[in-house]
Amino acid sequence: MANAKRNMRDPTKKRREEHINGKEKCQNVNRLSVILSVHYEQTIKKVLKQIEKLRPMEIVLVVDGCPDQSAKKILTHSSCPLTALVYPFPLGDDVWRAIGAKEATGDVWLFLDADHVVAANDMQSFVRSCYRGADIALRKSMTTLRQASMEPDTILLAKTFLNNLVSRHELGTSSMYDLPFAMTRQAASVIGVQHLVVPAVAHAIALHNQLRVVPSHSIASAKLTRKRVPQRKNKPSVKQTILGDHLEAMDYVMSLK
Amino acid sequence: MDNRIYDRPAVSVIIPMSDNARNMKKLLSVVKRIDPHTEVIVVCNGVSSQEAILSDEWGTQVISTSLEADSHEARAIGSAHARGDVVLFIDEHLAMPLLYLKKYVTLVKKGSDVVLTTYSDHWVSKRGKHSARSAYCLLNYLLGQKRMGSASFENIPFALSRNALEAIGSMTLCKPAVALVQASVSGLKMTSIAPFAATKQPTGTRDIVPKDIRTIYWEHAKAIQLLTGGTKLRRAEQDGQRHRDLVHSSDVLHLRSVIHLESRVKEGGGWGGKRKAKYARSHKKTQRRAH
Repeated sequence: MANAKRNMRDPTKKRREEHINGKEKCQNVNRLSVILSVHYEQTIKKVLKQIEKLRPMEIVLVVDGCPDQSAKKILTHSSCPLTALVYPFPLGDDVWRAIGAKEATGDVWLFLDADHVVAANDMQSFVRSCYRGADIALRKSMTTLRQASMEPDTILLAKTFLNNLVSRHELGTSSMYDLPFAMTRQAASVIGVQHLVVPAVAHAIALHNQLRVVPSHSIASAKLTRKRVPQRKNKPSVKQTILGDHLEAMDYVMSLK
Repeated sequence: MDNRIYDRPAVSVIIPMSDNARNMKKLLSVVKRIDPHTEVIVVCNGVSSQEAILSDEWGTQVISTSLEADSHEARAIGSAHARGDVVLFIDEHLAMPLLYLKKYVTLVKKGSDVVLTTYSDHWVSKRGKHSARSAYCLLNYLLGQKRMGSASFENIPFALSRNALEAIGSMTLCKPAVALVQASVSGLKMTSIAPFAATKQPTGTRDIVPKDIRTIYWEHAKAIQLLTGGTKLRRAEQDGQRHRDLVHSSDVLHLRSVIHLESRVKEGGGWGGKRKAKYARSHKKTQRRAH
């Protein structure tokens, strides 16, 4: 019921925004859930502003181990239906993905990182490829391992290794680690929502189950890094975790055959 | 026959060879010049018709294997027979100047235990082409041998010291990835050499089929598993302090507050704001009625 009403309101808005056409927005209102986690409050307003341009059906915010003011900031800001799950303790890396996904009700889920501001157009291109038949739309990898001059990063290697292990070398270094990415609800049910906790394992399961995983859109890494807040990603322990995740995924792949 | 006189040759060269190898004579003449006391071991798939020529004219030791043996297995078998202080493994298609081969031997003589070649993708430099490079690199990184880059036992040539051969075990050489893990774990001194930049790919039919890349990845994953001993038990700090129980079981208390906000429409402002506001108001009314 409520969806239908929001639909009616849509036509007045589509004329103002040219990049995301009205038809897509119409689909967004009915089908799109945006899932994101909040660690730092600096960028959240900007991110929410971009999300609102998509007119999603709902926003699922997972707030964990974060000062109270940021939650307030969010709650006064939104103009879309929003569900905030506020945890008083830190959940651990990437647990928010599974927790947010459990609450999401849309057909297509867009996972976002609230620490990076991504333009609404870029977000839409992930969602678009899901509407057009892809199960999981990943960020296209920008870096190539081929450049001999560049010392390849261990994590990039691990990502490539995993893709190669399941014979999907064309994915390059794309992985479900890189936010944003979009996936359909069916894909998530095939993978199992609880496996989203370890993105590498989710990635391996998706590839093994022959889901249509496509590298759909590339966001210039410069765009992402410019806005980057000096944060936990730089800690070596996060690298360790990601590497460990890939080993776990490798175990999963090996246990199947 | 001359090299049989010496009790222990300085260098053993192991060449897996197919029956119809063409440049064998050229290769053998190069190999013979590496060191005055060189032992050459040729491993043939099946019974070689050229066995007599090889052993009589060139004084090589010829070993026949079953037809199915791939080049790694052939090398492993050959290495079991090697007696030299330095064991050099090459390929029948090798087209390398003598000096370059000597480099491997001298490096071992200078104290390295394992001398490997890094991976070359001269011919597969196009982007998106399937390459095993990331497997080699990742394994080296995980072994803590970052400076080895993409070196691997998969790449030919490589050389081992007698010490290393014993530590690794000649049969482990069948599985190059496992051999690398073994070499690293035993604390052998490893060195890598950049591949000889051949200007063109050797033409002609390849009798020993290049290994399927999928198998290479598969073997490397196995080796990594061997190295890590499975990652089933991850400690909290390695697991990013994850509260996995919150996700995996349904009856756990989440201790969270859930805030739900319905859509709020901004009023006024901009083009057509009035009409929108009006619409919103009527929308609110209908909602109230519904309740």
